[in-house]
Amino acid sequence: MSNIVDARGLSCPQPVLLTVEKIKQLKAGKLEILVDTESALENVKRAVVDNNWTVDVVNAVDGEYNIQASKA
Amino acid sequence: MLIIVGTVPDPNLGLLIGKSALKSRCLTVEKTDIPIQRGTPALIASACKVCEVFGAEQPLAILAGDIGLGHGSRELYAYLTEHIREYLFSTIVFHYLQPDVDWHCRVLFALQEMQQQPTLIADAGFMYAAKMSGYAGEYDLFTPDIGELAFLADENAPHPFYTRGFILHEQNKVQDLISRAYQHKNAARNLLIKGATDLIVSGGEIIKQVNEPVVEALEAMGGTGDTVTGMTAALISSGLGITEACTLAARTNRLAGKLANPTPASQVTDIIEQIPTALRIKNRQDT
Amino acid sequence: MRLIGRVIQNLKRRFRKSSHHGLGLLVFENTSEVIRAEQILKKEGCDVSVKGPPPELRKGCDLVIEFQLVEELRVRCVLQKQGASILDVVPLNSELLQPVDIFQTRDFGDYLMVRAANMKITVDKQSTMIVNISGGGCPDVPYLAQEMVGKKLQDAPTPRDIGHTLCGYALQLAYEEIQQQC
Repeated sequence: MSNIVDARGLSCPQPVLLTVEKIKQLKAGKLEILVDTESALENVKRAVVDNNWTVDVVNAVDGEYNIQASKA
Repeated sequence: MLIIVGTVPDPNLGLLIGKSALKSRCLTVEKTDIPIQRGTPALIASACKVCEVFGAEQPLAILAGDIGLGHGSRELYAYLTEHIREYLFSTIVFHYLQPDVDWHCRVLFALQEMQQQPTLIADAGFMYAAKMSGYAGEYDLFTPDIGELAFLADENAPHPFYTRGFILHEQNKVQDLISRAYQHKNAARNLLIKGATDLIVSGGEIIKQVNEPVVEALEAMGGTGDTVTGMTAALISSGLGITEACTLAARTNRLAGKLANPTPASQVTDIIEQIPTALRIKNRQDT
Repeated sequence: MRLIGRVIQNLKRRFRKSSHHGLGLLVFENTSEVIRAEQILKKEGCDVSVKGPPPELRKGCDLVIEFQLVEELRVRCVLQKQGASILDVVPLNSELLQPVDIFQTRDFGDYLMVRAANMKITVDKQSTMIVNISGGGCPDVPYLAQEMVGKKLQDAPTPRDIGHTLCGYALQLAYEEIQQQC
């Protein structure tokens, strides 16, 4: 199972919906989410935390964001 | 967590407080079944659908039975004044309550004493009381329809029943109504104005408009304004910003409406059923 | 003395000398009593109209009856016979708020919708069945919808009979208008 959610080019609420669906599938482990807007970044970060996962790192490159999250 | 406050047209209900659950068109609050025909139950049901899709906690409902005599509403007001600070929540939406300026203020002041200020949303009777009290600006969001916007714009009207005729005629000049409401400090910080075009307003300026898809029957159907408010509240509580939540809720309501293919005689449960599908429809970027 | 009693006393003192319009207002404990009283008085041919109370008397969902002071005795008798109790009678010469008297009609082909103030009623044109009631913010609105939707106009209870608030009264206005149009 891929642990990457590529939500680039998708508008609200797709990035959050895809993230939440993936979190439910994985239940625990590591997850990488790709978005390309600031609002998607903020929404996804909140969704990760609300689902009791942790946002470990956020890398920003050329207007795109790579969010790395995990749950033990 | 989201808290939803409102009334149910059952004079024997008393005060009912509990987590909401929605299973196959049946709404339950603390093991009590509540029909979802319109009003606060429709708002709760639509919020439940959104929370389910987003994996968020189901909303807590604080309800009273009231058929307009006001007893249930007063019991609710008294409970909130006494106990609201004991709850841990991020967002609260006030809906069908008997407008009462004095009780409204007591509840508002109780909320303002909380360390963590929740997002405050008002619609229906509580919104009327908020405007009448002079404290509209303390709210993060009002969700009026276009007629209620005229009421907010009429600085003299204590209730939409008394909105002056010349202001009602101005419904074609929405920006003027918005400006007038803000000029007299009778609007919340944000507005979601429900109408032929849904308008998202922040600080007196229209920043987003949603007018597609067009589903004309929605205007006549009871509860379709309540579902927009319910979805907006749940989206804000799920972490979206207010503007984003309003825009998404407005669009989703229309999409859900289109999927339900309603007539003016259709019931709101048909729309609510379609909310999860509507949320998942991929859209082009908002304008 | 209750607060509302003190306010009414102050109003009486203020307007006793200056009243010259010959109008008074009947104050009741709650809005549903006003709605019933208006019905009783109009049936007896009294010249009355519902209005918004002056700011000092407003609580939230408020209605008063404006009447001709010369009819005070008759008004009191009529209401007393019907068991309706007035909180007080106040002479008045200031402008009171008028209820909305503008209707908006929308034709959906098979259905007709009328809006009065913040209330909308939708009817199947052929069968005259009430198919939807929407709008408003007072708690009797869902109750009125529950009792009226699904019934024909002539068979449904009227908002005046079972409503308790300004929203209920607005629905009554919409209901009367749609009856005329159907």
